[in-house]
Amino acid sequence: MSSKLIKLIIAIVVAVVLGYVSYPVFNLGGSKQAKTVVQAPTPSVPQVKPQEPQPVKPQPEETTPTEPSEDTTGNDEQKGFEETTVQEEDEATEDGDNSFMFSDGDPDLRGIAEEKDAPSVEGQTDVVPPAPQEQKLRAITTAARSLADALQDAEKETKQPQTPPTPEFTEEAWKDPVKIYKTVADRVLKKIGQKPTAEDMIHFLGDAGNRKDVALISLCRKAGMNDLKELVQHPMGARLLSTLSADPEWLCNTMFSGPTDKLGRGLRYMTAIFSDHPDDLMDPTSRRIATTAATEFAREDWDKEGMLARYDYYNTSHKEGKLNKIFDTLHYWDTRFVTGNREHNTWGSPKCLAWERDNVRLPLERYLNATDQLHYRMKNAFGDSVHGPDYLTPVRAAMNDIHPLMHREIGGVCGACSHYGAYAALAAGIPAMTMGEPKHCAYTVRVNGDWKKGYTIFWQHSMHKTFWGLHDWEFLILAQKLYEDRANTLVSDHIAALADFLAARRLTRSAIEGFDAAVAVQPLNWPTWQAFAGFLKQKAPKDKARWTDLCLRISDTLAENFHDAAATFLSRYVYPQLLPLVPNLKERNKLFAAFFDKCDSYGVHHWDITPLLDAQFAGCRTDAEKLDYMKTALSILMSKPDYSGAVLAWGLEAAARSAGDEQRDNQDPSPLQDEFSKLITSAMSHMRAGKKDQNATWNGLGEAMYAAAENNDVRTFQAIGKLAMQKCKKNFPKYKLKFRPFSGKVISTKGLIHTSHKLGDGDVRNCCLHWGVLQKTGGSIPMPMGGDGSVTVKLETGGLINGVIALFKEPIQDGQRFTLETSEDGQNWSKVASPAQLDTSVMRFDLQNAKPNARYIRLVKEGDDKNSAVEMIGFYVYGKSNKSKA
Amino acid sequence: MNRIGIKIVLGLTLLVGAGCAFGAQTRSYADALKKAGKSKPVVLFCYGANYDQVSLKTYETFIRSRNKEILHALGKESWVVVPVYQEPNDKEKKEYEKVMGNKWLPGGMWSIPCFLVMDGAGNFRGAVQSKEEMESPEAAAKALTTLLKNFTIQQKLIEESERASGDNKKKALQKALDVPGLKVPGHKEYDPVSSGLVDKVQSMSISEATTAIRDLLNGGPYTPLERQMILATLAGHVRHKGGSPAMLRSLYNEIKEIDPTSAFGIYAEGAIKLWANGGSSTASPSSGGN
Repeated sequence: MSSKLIKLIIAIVVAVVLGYVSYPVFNLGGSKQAKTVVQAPTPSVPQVKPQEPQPVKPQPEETTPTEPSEDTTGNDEQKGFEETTVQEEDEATEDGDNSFMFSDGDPDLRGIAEEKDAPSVEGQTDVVPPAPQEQKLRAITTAARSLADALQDAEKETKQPQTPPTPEFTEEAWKDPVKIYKTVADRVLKKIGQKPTAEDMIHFLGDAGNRKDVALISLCRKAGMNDLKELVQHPMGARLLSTLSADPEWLCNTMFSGPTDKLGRGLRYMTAIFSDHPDDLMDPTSRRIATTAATEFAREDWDKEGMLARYDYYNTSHKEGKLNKIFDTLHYWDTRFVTGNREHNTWGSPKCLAWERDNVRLPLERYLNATDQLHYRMKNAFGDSVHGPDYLTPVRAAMNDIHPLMHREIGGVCGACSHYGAYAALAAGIPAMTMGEPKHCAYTVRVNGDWKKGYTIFWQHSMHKTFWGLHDWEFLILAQKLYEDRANTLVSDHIAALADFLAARRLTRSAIEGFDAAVAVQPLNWPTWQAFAGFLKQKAPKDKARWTDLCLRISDTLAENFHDAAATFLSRYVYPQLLPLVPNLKERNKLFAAFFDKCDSYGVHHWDITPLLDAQFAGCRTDAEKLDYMKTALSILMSKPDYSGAVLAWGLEAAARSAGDEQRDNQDPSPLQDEFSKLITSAMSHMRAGKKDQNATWNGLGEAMYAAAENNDVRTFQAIGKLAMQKCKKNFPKYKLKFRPFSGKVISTKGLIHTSHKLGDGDVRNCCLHWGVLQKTGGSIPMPMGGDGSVTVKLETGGLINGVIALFKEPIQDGQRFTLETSEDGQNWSKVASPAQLDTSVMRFDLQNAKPNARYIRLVKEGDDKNSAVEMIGFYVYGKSNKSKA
Repeated sequence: MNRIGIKIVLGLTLLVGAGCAFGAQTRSYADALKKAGKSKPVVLFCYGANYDQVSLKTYETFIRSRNKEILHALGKESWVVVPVYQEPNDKEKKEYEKVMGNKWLPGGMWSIPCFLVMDGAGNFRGAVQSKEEMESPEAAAKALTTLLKNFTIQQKLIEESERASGDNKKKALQKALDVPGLKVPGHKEYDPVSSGLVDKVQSMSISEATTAIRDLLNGGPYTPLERQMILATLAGHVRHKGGSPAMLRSLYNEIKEIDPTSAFGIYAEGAIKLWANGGSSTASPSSGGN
């Protein structure tokens, strides 16, 4: 035997023994690793030998970075698979939801990790296809939607229980997941052809077996080979994969019903569940509970013990018939809201859930009023604050630390009340969640497909459970609408999964066509838009036509109803790429206008337009460009009442920011600010600024101010007030107000004033006078004289109040009863003990003894004299603001 | 009398007897109120009719099968079965309206299935609704028997207080408020937190607070829970002001003795162990924050 042959045999033996013949790169899952290529082999049998599935710990290995080999022939069959395992992970494949919260401008690249044996496309010029023509898009969409209809029909037919399908890949076969992946991947590539078009993909997905293959490929890519190899060491792991991969419905629900981040861990969690409950493996509801609890706990990085307890709670409750019938109607995606609820150590612990399930059993709609069962108490009867350690301590042991019970008996504030309501619904298997509001906690329960709000005060909701790490209310509604449209979303997800696979195989052109089709058939598919943008950023970062197309398609489709989501997408993922490629201002403003045209109102929900305006403004380099942009934004948005106040406030601040800190400190308006003021006037009147346009300006500012007051937006309220004074000074009264002040400073001047009196159109146009009421020159606001009618002042910051003075235009008749109330949060009010001292038209409240700490002050008229109002011309709060204390 | 005649008489007797046993059930709440009159209670058995297996099972076991213990507990009182629907369709809405008219169930109903005890004027007075109470017909019957017995006692006291004046009125009302498990219509609940008492005592010395709180208690009438809460305010104040453990212990015991099984009784028991034996505070954080 020649020495060469001996060497070759030795090499083969070593390779076999060490088992490092592995299928190269896809998403390896697990922890974030540096981008390195491992030259040393990774054993096919991992050294970790789990008796039961354990979270993967990164294995320190000696690594030598090396270049991945590339084959430019494009022939996989000839090339075979390299004998190296690449320990590479695309940064974005870490894909925890939270990554999106903090990543500015980085699109999601989840899943798109290239396989190193795939042919290189370098040097090719036709890699990125041009954006599809409208006609082509329409044809693709029609074809895809036909497929969606077919899927829907097929689903209806398979509602009847069927015999378990025979697995193509047995437990034994799953011992080598690489081989399975290779088999399926080769099969797909063979069937779909070398350069599949979108039409080819849709046609391919018309076959149920092909859809299953795509889902299986997706599972392998998302879970990662390391995790799969480890998983199959456990007997139940191999059994789970064999059963899961044989059942198209379960597989499809696992892969295409919401985020699949950290799927490797999710599968380990599922293995742990079915190891404890092997009989549940064939039960459809148990599968749903197990899959959703496992995938949610995995992607949230919650512990296995909590997940097992959560599974037991819902599985047992369901088997015992203790859940609301709604639970039986849930799909996988919305079951995630239930089994993946947060607070798994407190409100969501099995004992707390069980208590609420058994003691707060209500019909669906009534969970929104369950908070009535609790007493709102910042301090309990023993005088202990809810924020201190002693509020509940004495009852903890006796009440077994059951939070809902303890709070129902002792009290709580908004957090406890909202958790009580939300978790009562969740305990019954109904989708619900708590949500943060500014210094407040509220909650929402899904009733008949609509997310209804409970205990809410403000429009700003930060959802405590998200699919994509985006906490605005609109993203919850987007997720609801996306998955509610099950058939189209399924087709879209399958195409996107195929595109992701083709991208990994370096079939870039086909991949892009796939993404194009996936978002065409389901424009609400947020994660696919993200993946698409991520892929374009990799493959066509300078392709102006492509980015322009993406911008316009988002504006045309997603922005139709979901303004906030579209704006978020544009400002985070599109503008950073696109704007540097569009130096022409007109062209750029036209792109912006395409989005603004869709926003006649807030759309799904009130949202903050400021980040979008900032992103658009960021593309402006010179003052001229900035002014030009502002002109466009103002001319469009000032005619839209929902946005006018916000765009004004943003513009004033952006102009001040651009002018620089130095000028701001001097408080002299910069030339840019001056120009901007002119622009505002111009935009308000839709004409050039001038004396004759003052009425239009005044009316427009009044409307914007009304919106700011309704929105409780102090900053905008003040910005508009100052501008109105600057531009329409003559419209303000010139009272010479005389009254005896209290000690301390007037701390209400920079606040916001709001009346509960219903304003007509004419009143709204004069709203700038409301601002004047807080100024020393005076203004005008109607003080309602009906029962519970009030005027409320929100201070810029809270403060200690010495006294309050209210001035009326006409003397107030004797016998009218007014009370003054203060509040720190605008929700819980305390009446001040001091009675009103009324001297004809001057009303005083002396609070120098009580000195309440408050941010809100409310003058309330007692009595039943409805629908009338008196004119208040001044309102002054004296004291010491917390700002000055700070 | 011939045989046929005897059979007819026996049959009629059985029918009347059965009618007496089930006769107190009415088809609608309005009928029940009418039948009950001013001084008698009306019992509503509420169950989730289209969404809840536990409710359906309870309905089957307690009502449809005419469980003896439940029927015995209901006695001759007027009672109604109220089907509660989730997302009701038109037919279900009509079903509900047939029983309850345009009335919705009272806020005191915290969980379904349950028995609600209303008075003849339609005021919510009490409920049998916890898991422990509703988990078997025996437990529910026991709780319901006690509640209805207490209702009779309380109703007499309320009527007595309506007839009386001055101190006698107050005494009768106090006795009515002391009847466990039932609310007294028209009694405005006193909460030392929302009334501002907890904040008000902060500026007082222990002896001033003691005087103020004892005066307040003497001013009654209050429910046992209200008395416990008022005393809790004093106990909390004494603790925060560094009062003696003996004084604290005495106050906690006073709270406990009013009703050791209530939440405040349990709190007092826990507080004695934590704070009345020389301790000051615990380190374990409270949850449920803002």
